[in-house]
This record gives sequence, structure tokens and C-alpha cells, in this order.
Amino acid sequence: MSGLSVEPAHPGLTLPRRLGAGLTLASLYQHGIFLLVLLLVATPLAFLILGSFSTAQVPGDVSLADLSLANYRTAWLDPTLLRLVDNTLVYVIGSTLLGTALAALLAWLAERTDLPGKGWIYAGVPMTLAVPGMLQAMAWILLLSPRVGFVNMALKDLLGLDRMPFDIYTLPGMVFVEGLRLVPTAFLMLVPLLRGMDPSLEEAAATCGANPRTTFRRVSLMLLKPGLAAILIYQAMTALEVFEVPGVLGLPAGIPVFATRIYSILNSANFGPAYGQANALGILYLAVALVATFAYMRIIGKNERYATVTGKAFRPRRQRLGAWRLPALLLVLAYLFLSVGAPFLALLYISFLKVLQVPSAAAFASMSLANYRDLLASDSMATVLWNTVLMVAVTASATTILSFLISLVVVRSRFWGRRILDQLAFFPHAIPGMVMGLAMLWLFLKLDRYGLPLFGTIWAIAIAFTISFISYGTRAMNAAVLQIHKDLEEAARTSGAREWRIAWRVFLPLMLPSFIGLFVWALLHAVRIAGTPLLLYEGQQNQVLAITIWNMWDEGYVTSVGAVGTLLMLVLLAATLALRMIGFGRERI
Amino acid sequence: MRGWAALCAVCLLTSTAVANPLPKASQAYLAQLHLDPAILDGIDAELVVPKAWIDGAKKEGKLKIAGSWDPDQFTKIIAPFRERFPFVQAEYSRAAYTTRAIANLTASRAGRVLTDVMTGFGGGSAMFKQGNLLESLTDIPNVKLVASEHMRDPEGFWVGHLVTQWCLSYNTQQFTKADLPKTWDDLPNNPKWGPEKLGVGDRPQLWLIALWDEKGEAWGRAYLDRLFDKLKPQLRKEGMNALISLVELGELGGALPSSGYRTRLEQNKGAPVSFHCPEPVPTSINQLGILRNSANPYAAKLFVNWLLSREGQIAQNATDFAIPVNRDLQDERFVPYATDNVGKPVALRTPEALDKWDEIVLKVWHDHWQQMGR
Repeated sequence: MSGLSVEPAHPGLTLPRRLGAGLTLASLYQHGIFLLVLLLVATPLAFLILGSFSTAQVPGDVSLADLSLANYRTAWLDPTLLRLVDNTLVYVIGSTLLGTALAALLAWLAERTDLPGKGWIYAGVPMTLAVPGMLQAMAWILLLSPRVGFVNMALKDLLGLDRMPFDIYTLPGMVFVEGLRLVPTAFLMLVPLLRGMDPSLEEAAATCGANPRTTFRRVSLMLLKPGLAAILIYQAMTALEVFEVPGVLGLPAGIPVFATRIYSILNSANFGPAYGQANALGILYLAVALVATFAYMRIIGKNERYATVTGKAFRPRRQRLGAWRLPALLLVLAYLFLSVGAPFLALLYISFLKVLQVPSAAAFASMSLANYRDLLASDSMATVLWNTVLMVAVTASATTILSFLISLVVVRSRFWGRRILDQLAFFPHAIPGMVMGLAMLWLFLKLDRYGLPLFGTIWAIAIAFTISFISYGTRAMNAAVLQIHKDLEEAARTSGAREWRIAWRVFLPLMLPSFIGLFVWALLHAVRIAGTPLLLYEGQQNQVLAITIWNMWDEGYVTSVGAVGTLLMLVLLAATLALRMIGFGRERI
Repeated sequence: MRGWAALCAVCLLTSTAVANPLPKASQAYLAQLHLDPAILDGIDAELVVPKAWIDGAKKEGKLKIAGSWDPDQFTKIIAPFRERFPFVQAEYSRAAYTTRAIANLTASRAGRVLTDVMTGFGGGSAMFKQGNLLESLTDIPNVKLVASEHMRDPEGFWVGHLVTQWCLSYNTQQFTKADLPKTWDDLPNNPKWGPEKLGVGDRPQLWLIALWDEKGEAWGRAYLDRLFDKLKPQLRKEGMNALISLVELGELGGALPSSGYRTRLEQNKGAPVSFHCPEPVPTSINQLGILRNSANPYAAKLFVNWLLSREGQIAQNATDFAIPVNRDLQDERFVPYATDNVGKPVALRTPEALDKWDEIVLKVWHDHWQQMGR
């Protein structure tokens, strides 16, 4: 037994023997991956845990003398914390369910029905991932604010209402926007799973007399269970942690959630011990992650159940929508308009303005290409774009490969540490962005002193992102690897194929949609996220587009950000479309 | 004899000034601001530094600056410097306060100096000083030219490079001059500013500490109670400049705090915004320092000396309406919205006030933020 197949040669043997006489390539690989992930995750994890006990003034200046439970007492015994529970639960559960349900519907329509124009779903749905959350929330303010929302004003005039019909600064408004933001991630994960589902099981159920509802509930849903569980866990953690939507839409209306509290604590001090308090609250994320991954491992415990890709050739069945074709198409168009079209139009509109203003004859008369001209005239833009392309390509590739290698151990092996490995891989998602950024800053500065000059390079940003992204990567890959039946590898192995050849000829073609989906996800996130790059940024040599966008935003050049956002969405639409064509084949686009 | 020598020196300097025309960029800025070129008479003398600094800067050839100007602004500000000292290639990186200060502090403590010159320490200058991470600026001639003792560190580790008034920006289509509060106490008492008309940014350090120090802690606490209870402002997490964009859009009637210089930039673009300071005017000094063990100390000193000179200060004002610190430019021509705000009593945020009140003000402020939840 060796190489990528990580079934133990002698399953009954205990750990010491396996590490001793049975020290195989497989064992080396498993331990190597385990050690690598441990090393990658250890620094941010230590920052979170030690930082939560530390009262040192500067993050990273942790000493035994500064450790105490003071941060926990201050952060958790605050009576106002209880007031956040209701809002947080509604917000997290609501947006997770909305996002996942919409994604499931879109993925099913795209993969398993005869809906026309699917290419637009594949290319359009992920597009919003690349738009910074702040900008997206701002686009929604422009559309649905009760004071200046373009849509609100148009509807009010059109319908002769005496007040604006919508208010985006409400809990349902927050759930709506965050729900839409969660769709692409779930969609990218669900598409390959649906594509890999053998329809013969559903057909068999139908032959046995099961109605479509029973077939869906007892067969399709059960087969998708590990994937859906992974998605729900990941999405709920995202909604719990990410601050952009609660910050822009919740704070002004006095609707705080848990993430708002962490932000508030981080901002309540210049350098002070508040970082420790934020970490102490952030420990909740870690606890949720621990419980969630434990539950997930139990769900996938008997993983053969979920293998649908076997040696038998199959073609996923496409449901004829019949009379439902038009309503389904309208639904998809409505989603694409709400999620992509409307924010895109809002960004496009402001990108032509010099001064931010509501649409009017005067506003349209004042439009110009000045913001685009300024972008092109910028001295540093070429360097920034090149840095971004390189960083994004490396991040997306590294995330995809590393996630796949980890998932092989987690899903395919009986390696003693596979549950811990899965939890370690998920932990980065439980670490607040600021803590992750500071930990990476500290790590690269230390490495610099030991002769590894990564700080100030785009590689440092790529490494930091890869660590952050393996949480999602392993969720997506775990679900995808689960679908591949072991018989396929065994057959190849019996035929004399070496391990690399099995990976190349068996896993790669079968999992290409998953690889592409993950690559696209990582690419779009790496383009957008600014927090970590801002901390690892040393100068023009490692400046990336997200930093430029963030700086423009922070400086208040909202209309210029509109121009960048517009171009970004168009370029990424083309890139996503191209990648999907590679991943799924032209005929399915 | 000594008197003659001094006179000769002055003659020499004057002749040098006459002999060297101003940099083209400076000439353009003087024209832009409608200033008499005589305002820069004797500037060459003001820029005289030890020869060793020039030689050292030539050897270094580079300079790294981290600040809060946007890159285009920095390119404009530094244009005259580039003409005078073409052998120094300045590389600028822009970052928000938190990341700029924290990243530099963490890195310096780890022994890696990320930049030569840093601006905008906010409340972090004390931490840099405590960590012995700043170079002394006492040998930089133009540090002595700042208009007030409050504009430089008594121990010489930082110096102010511009003055900012942090007040209210407002939408001129929603508020008339009659609606503007004369004093800070008038603001919560005016129902026109609430509810949710006013957007408050999460940087109380910029305006509140100065008022708190001026009027006392009891006033500060009571004031926040009234501001939050009566006006029910929108709590905004956007940056202070982005808030001005929301004001020009009409999403906010007014924003607190806003800087006069940034509001002026937007108003000049045609935005329906203006700026108003209730009394007393919260005023702060933006700090600048050179990091200890920086890679290009001579180029850094050259730059700081130039920036504090009249020429550097005029370049700054021409670029973003920043109020100068140079004692010879304390003139209302350099103050945005001068007719409205010059002559009003000032509440200066001194370093001592910052040290004394920072933690308390932030805590009280954030308690209010947390109470605002539904």
C-alpha cells in the first residue's frame, strides 16, 4: 500500500507498528500533510488562543506575565452581549438558509434540468464574489435606502406611495443581502456534486414507485447530505464572522450582531488590550468550528454510502421542466438581476459620476469617463495588476492542490489524525480576519529574521490566503472525494497504474469540475479581500488590487471605486466563463 | 566682526535664493493659490542642511514614506522636492491608520523597519516612543519653524506636519446656515439633526478628545448621553472621507467628524456639501516621525526638513487644503472655510490630552455604540 491511496495496509495494526516497520509512502504522506497543515495553522491559532488570554498592549508581545482571564471576564460578562443573541441567530440562520436554498435551486436548474441559457448562471452567479462586501452593501444602499434608494424612489413615484416601500437597514434587509452574498460559494460547491450524482439511483427509486418528492427526500437529499452539511457549516460560520453587511447595514440602524461586537471592541482601542478581548470573543468561532467539524466527521463516517461516481458510465439525468421552464427562467433572471445586475448597474452608474448623487437629468448630464481615464493614467496600475494576477494564480492553484491532498487523507484514509486534520484545516475560517492578518505579519517578520525573506512579497500574501482558504477548499474537496468510489482507484492500481498516474488519470478528470469550482472560488476571493494584504503590504512591489480598492474607498473616492468594481466584474465574468468552459466542456456551458 | 560675517551670510543666502529659481511645481502651486511669489523669499536658506545629509541621501538614493495621503496627492505634494533633490527616489505607500500604525509598530519591534518616514500616528506615537522606535528630529532645522510648542514632541521624536479641524460636513440641500449649531451643545438640542440625520464615524479620537480636554470629563459624558439619546445618529463604520460621500449623496444630512480639507475637495468638485465648526473648533496636529534604524535616514531628514519648510507646506496646502504648521504661514488664506471658522475659539488635541483621555473616551464612546442596538 503506498502513495495517494491511503488505506492502511493492515487496518488492524496499531499506530506504533505502522510508524515503525510499516513506514510506508502513504504513512509519510499522511504525516507530512498533517505536519504541514499543523505548521500553517499553528501561528494564527496560537495568536487567537494566546491573544485571548493576553493583556499585552501590542499584538504579538505575549508573555507569561501578561496572561490572565481578564479578557474573558470583560468580554463575556458584559450584560449587553445577551441582546445580540436574537439578532445574531436570525441573521445567521436566515442568511445561511436563504443563501443555501437559492444556491441549491440554481445549481439544480443548471445541472439537472433543460433550462436554456445556463452559461449565464455559471458565469453570473460567482461574479459577486469578487466585489468587496463593502461595495456591494453600498450598492444596496444606493438601491434600497429609505432616504435615497434609486429603486425606492422610482417605486414611490410610480405607485404614488407616501413613503419608501423598502428599507435595507433592517434585519430582513441584512438577511437578504448576506443571503445573496452566500449564494456563489454554495453554488460552486453544489454544481460538481450534482454533476457527479449517478441518476440511476433516482431512476431506481422512481421505478419502485416513489414519487418525485420521496425520491428527492430519500435519495437525492441523502446523497447530497455530506456536501450540504459542509456547505451549511461553512456558510453559517461565514455569516457569523463576516462584518461587512452587519457593519454597513446593521450598525446605522442599531441592529448589532456578534461580528459587530468584535469589530466594536477592535476599534475601541488604538493598540490596547482590546485585541485580547476581541480574541476572547473570537474563541466562540473556534468552539463552533470544533463542534461543527466533529458533527461533520460523524456524518461522513460511513463514507462509501455517498460514493456515486463508480466505474459504471452514467450521464446525469436532465429533468424536463415542461411548463415550468418559463417560471424557472424568470426566477433565474430575477436572481441574476438582484444579485449581479442591480449592483452592477449601480456601480456602473456611479463610475461615470464625479460626485456621488441620485439619478437625475443633471446627474446624467454630468457623466464622464474621468474615473476610467484616471485609472488608466495611474503610474502604478500596471504593476498592481501584474502583482494581482500572479498572486491570485498562485493562491488559487495552491489552495486547490493543498485542499485536495488534505481531503484525500481526511476522507480516504484511516490515518489516526484525520479528524484532527479536518478540524485544523477548518480552523482558519474560525479565526477573525484581523487576528489572522496580525499572525501572518508576525510570522513573516520572524521568518525574515531567519533568512527567509518572504515579507514584502506577493508570495507572503499568497501563503496567507492559502492558509485562510483551505477551510473552504477542504469542505469542497471532502464532498467531492466522497463521491468517487474507491473501486476506481483499486481498478487502476490492479491494472498496474502508479499513484501519480491514478491521480492524473482517475481523480483529475473525474474531479475537474470540483477543481475548477474551487479554483474560481479562491481566485475571486483573493482578488477581493484586502484585510490581510493591507497588513502584509510593504510597498509597490507587493501591492495588489484589493489594497488599491480599499485605499480608494477609505479615502472616499466612491465613484472611482465604482469604476474599478465595474471593470473587475466584467473581467471576472469573462475569466469565470472561460474557466468553466475548461472545467465542464463547451457543450455544457 | 561677527555682525559682518552674519550679514555676509545673509547676502550669500539671498543671492543664492535669487540665483535659484523656484521649482516649477512650486511656481504652479503659488499660481494656483494666487500667492505672491515673495512668500517664498529666502526659501533656499530655509532648506540649508549639513552637507553630510546631502551626501548621505545621494548614497541612499531612496526614501520610503507611509502615510494617509492618497497616492496622487502624494505625487503632487512631493513634486517640488523631486525637483530639488532628484537623486532621491521616493516610494510612497498609503495605508489606513490601524494597519499603518500596527504593521509598522509590530515590524519595528521585530527588528524590521518597513518605512523611513511615517505620518499619522494617531494615538500610537506614545507606543513608538516607549519602544524607542523613533529617531530624534531635534537636529532637523525646520522642526523649529512650527508655529506652536504643541506641534512638536517636547522630546523631539515627532513633529506636526499639518493641522486639521474636525467638525461637521453637511448637505447644503438639507440644511441651511440657520440650521447649523453655534456651539457643540446646540447640536443635540436641534431636532433638525435627528433622528438618523447625522452619521457618526467611529473615530472619536479625532474630535471628541479635544472637546473633552477643553470642557472636562463631566461635560464629555453628559454630552455623549445627549448626542446619542436625542439625535439617535446613524453609526457608520465607513472611513471619515467616505462619510462625506454619503453626505453629498443625501443618505446622511451631516457627518461627524469630517475634515475641512476633504470637504473642500468634494465641494470643489460640485458636491452639495459644506463644512461647519461649532465652537470650540476641535483641532488636531497630524504627526510625522522617522523610524529608528530606517534604511534611508539622510533622505528621510531631507524630506522632513523640506516638508516643514514654507515650500513643503504650500505644496501640501495646494494639494489638499491642509492647514500649515509653519509659523510663517499662519494665515487664513491657508485655512479651508476660513470665513466661517477662523476666529472661533479652538480646542486643541494636545499629545498630553491624547495620552490622558484616549482610553476613557474610547470606552465611553463604545459603550454608547453598544447601547444603540435594538
